[in-house]
Amino acid sequence: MSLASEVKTKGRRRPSASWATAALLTPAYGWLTLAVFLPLCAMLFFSFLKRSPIPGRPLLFTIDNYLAFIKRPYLFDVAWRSIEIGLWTTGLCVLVGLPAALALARATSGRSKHILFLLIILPFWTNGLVRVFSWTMVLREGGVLDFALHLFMPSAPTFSLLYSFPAIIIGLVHAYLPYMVLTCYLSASAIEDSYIEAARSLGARTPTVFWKILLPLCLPGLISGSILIFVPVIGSFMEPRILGGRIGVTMGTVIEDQFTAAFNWPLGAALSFTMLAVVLLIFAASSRVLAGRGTIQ
Amino acid sequence: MIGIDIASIGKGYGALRVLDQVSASFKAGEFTSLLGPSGSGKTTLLRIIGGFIEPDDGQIRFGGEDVTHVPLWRRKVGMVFQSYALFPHMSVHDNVIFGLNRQGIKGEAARKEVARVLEMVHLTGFEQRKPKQLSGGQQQRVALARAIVTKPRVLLLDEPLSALDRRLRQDMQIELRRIQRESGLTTIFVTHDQEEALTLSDTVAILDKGRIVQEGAPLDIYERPRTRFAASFLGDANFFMGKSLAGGVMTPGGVIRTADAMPALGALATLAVRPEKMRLVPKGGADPGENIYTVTVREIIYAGAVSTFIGEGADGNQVKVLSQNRDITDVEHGQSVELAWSPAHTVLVVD
Amino acid sequence: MIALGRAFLAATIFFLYLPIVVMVALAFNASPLYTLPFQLTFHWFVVLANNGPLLSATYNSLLIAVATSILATAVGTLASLALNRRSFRGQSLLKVLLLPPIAIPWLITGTAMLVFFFWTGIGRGLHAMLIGHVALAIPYVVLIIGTGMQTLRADLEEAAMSMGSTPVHAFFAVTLPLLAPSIIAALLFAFAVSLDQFVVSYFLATPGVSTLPVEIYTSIRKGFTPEINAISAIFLAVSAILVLIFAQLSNLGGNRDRH
Repeated sequence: MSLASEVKTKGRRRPSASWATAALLTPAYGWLTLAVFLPLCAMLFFSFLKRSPIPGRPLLFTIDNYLAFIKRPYLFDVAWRSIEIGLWTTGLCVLVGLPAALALARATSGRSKHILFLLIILPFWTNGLVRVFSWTMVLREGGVLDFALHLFMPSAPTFSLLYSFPAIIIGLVHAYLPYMVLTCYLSASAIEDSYIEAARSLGARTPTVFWKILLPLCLPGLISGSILIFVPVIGSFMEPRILGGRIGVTMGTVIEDQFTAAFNWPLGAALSFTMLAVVLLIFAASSRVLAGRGTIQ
Repeated sequence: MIGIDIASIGKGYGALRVLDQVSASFKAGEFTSLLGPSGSGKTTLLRIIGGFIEPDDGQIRFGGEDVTHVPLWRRKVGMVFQSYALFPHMSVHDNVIFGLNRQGIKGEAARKEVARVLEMVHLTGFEQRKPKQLSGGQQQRVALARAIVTKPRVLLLDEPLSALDRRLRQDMQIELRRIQRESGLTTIFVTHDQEEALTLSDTVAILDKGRIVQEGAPLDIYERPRTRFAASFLGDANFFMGKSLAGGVMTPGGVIRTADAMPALGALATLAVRPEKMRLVPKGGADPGENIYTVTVREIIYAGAVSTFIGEGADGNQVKVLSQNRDITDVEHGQSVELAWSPAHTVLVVD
Repeated sequence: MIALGRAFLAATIFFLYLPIVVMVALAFNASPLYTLPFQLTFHWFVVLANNGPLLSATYNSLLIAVATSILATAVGTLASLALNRRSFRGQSLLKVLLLPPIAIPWLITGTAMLVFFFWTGIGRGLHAMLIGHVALAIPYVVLIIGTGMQTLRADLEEAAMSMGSTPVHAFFAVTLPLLAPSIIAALLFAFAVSLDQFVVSYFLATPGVSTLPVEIYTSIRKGFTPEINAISAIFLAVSAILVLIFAQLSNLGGNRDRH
């Protein structure tokens, strides 16, 4: 046990220990309060206003903004579209990310494993906007995809995947795939060779090994990866805008519009909090599932 | 050289009482071991003496000066940790000179002191090495050098040899004793290894559940344990329980006599005998005045120089006999034999 | 099976790097309309050097990133010391409170900051972005320093104190030097978090005062020009270097050989 805590357990010294701890914590938590917690409270307050506050005009309160889904039914479509995008993205990330993570954990070793791991993590820490932008180079008319297509079929019409639903999904999968690979890799690397050897000695063939051993043991990674992907994706507006153009309308873009174009901050705030509630529900549900599996995240 | 006195030290964590009314005197210049099983409070006591923990009650005096509330960094102690705690980012030289610098001794004078202790621990020439370049035994010696260079008032060692393998451990025990005698420091040594405590110490204090159960010179506490715990923790012991009479107890296997004064007659009492004090004799072969006890041989464990015989007495009482193999006796399993030993070797113990 | 796994891995990496490689390549391509065939040139980098808004946005990004890095690391290290040293009541709660900045979608945090800063008169601009970036970086710093402290043994400070160091001296003589790699890693991480931050910067930017990602975004909305590729390529290179240094320092994905 740390000396400092021991020396200070007698009544005489206790006050200085608490003061010291408080002093150490105040800058960080003070900053977070100012920059995150108070703003969230402010936004909660705003969500109950009738319109954006203008100095001189009295504040009017309403819960209309939370009833927006009823007042403006098109929001249901938008919300559903966001969820669709979230599910597609998460699903594809699972399909690509899990095998990649398993391959990294089990089919490589030593130096090459280290290098491959870095290669996969690297794009993750570069600017997301730049990566989305780079996809436009590939997907647009006259872009790389179009060019490659014409190499094989010169008479085909110009091909552009840009400003379409698939484009949005591709961009999002590209941006969030490393999350899934990382979490699944953490789970996969904990799988001992001896489990698989034991299974094989009992007569299991590869499909059985995968479904009964590898997959269940990677489940915590899959779940936490899915959360890490689904939550930001349903709130994304950058990728849908840039890659989806006019059809790229999601909850994220609608909320962003309220703040930058429509100047209807109360509505934006209410929609944000609705999304936040959904996010918190997802976290609560997933932590229960993860805790049930005896995993500490 | 100063003596350490502790009076009525108590320490608890929540409902758990780790140390209870512990008092002792550690004579100046002597090597004392605190011996006990894990949970006995020996490490806690050591840390309280050192100033790492504050006691709930009691007083600690270094050479008559009350240091109970003196903080660790002003107490002038030298501590060797179980994990050595060498500073990984400093060389051996910087590790050892650390305490001297804190005392205000710098430059040439400090360097001389460092060289002196490094020589004492046989590590001259290792000054520029980093801890991770040293073997376990070498790290241990640096830790020791670091603790003694500041000429502390007391040297405290917290199971410092437990991480070493057997051979190295035995070598280090000899080294440790030599260094301690050379430096003349009052030393308190914590261990759970009774053999280590017996070979190294001038005085051994046995701790059990937060109390000192017995203390004294190794020979004295081994030959004359005062409690059942002391008898069985330090070495092996055979116990005979029964109603006390004048000069002994009555057991189902007969009267066991002791040279100790028996207290309340008629009460339940326990006598203890060390296995090496007993010998196997042919029927009727015991000397007059000796205790005789019949057992059926259950196990014979041959170990080259010695053999251990485990026998079962009349009431199922298990008795262990340790016998030097001067001549090989042909004793068989299931055979009924007599054990003989002197009443002088029979010790009255309390539970 | 192993060959299949490696092939899949290779395909995944191809997917991850394809657009990046294309984008960087096009930064060196002469055509202003991104048409192939490929003609090598540095023209766009020259044009970039004359693009006022992009350059000032780059300068702002770097300025804020450096400031964020220093502030977040200082503040976060102090907090981490308190959270990982002694246990006290409410410690777990405080640790949980570090999650919102990372877990809540930045869209929500960003708009919340916009609302609050407007209401309290803090307004938008570089100072607002700094406040936001530091808040987002703090949880990461606390985590990194915390991990570094796990490998630090408590008895080292005890040993120093037994030799005469006051607790404060022991901290500076023993703990701080051993934490140095973690602190540097935290600095780099905070720098990268700030440099790459788009969403929060977007909401807190004002016309004429923005950071590089925001500027790239508005440029894209106006139309594509290759100097965006040029600055993006540079941006990627800088981020990549930072990550590699950070990985080196913390042995990511490799072995931990500290004891």
